[in-house]
Amino acid sequence: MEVVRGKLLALVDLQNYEVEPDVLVLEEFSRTKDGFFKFEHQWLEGRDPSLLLDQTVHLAADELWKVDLRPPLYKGSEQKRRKVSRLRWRALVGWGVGMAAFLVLFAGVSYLRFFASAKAEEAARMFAEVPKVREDQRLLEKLRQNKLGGIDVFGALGRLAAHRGSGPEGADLWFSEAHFESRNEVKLEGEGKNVEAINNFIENLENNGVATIRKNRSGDEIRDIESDGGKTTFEIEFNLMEESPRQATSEEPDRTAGSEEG
Amino acid sequence: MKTLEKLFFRLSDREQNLLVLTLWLVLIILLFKSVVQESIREFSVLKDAERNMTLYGEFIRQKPLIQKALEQQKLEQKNKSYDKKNLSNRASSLADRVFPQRDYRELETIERDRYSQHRIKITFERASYPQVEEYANLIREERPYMFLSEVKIVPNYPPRNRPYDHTTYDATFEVSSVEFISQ
Repeated sequence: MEVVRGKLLALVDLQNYEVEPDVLVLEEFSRTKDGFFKFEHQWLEGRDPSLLLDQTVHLAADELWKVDLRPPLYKGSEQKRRKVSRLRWRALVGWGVGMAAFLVLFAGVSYLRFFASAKAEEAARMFAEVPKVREDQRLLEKLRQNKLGGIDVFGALGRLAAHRGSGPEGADLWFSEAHFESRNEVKLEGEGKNVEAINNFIENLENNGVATIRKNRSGDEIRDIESDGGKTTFEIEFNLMEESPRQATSEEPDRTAGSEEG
Repeated sequence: MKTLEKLFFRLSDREQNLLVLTLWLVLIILLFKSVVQESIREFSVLKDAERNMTLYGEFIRQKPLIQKALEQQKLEQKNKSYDKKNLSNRASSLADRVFPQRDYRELETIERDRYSQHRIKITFERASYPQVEEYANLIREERPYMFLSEVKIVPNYPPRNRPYDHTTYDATFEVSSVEFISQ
């Protein structure tokens, strides 16, 4: 301190000035957010109350650069370097905020995971119940159908056969297998004279309110007609409609004939 | 914070760049992997689960109605139902009466809380039309204690050189009975 003081005093013609015994030194300085520098001073020697020097001084950074005696080239690059450095610091602070946001979001996702897995477990538990309910429904439906007479094999085949069409050579199509899954659900396999005969058979059944083609889960009709090498076969699943009493009476004579013919 | 700031500014430009880039890169990867990807996945799990629950809920809501209907059926049958032995004896004796060459098989019983559905399978091979029809009618007469739950008929048409022969049928009957469990 004494050396510095001596050097500074040597720069001045002391005959024209009076040397103050009090010494005010810089303690801390920092850059504030508004682009100012804050200098905090402290009395090192003496403390003359008549000296009205501010112990805390704020100076604009631009002002400081103006009075900086270093070469302008250096000052330019240094200003730029410090500006970039401050930007990097802001990026680091931003990262901290981002990290905090990430932790909040992560906690949210963890809660969502917990919530979703609880729901998925609940759905799996409910899924296990569905086949049982379906089977119960099927059984109930069978019991209901029993009250209507249960599976009426030849009665149903007779109703179907009555609409298959015929020509001088006999029936246009014939059945090779009938599988009744219930009173109203029947899968028919057979052979037709040609594709047209099978399509006419289906159309007749639908137009006369005897049966409709069943649909699968995607809504497509469960039907398959193949024609190859002079042979036309079909596999169709039908929903048989309950016959009205009048229909039953009018179709009665055809039934046995149709059934016996197959 | 001040200490951190001082420490940061003590680093060289290159070190500062490296530190900031690395930290941001880590944050972006973490955000993408642990937040964006995970939330999309969990959200789709949640949506699927909710959709399935709505679908399954429709079935499960019918459960009380089904139970009520089954209870009603039980009352209609005056609490009388065929157990497996009754079903087996009755269905096979009726088959013996109509078509002694019949094939008899027992199927797995479906067990439920309030009832059991016993099932047997009777097969006729090359039976005549009256035989198949008679057996079907005999079973139908046993309603509601016993009923046809599935039937498969395969006709055996006469060959072209013997057109006047009778058509025979291979018939498979699945006969069921519902035994209500006393509670």
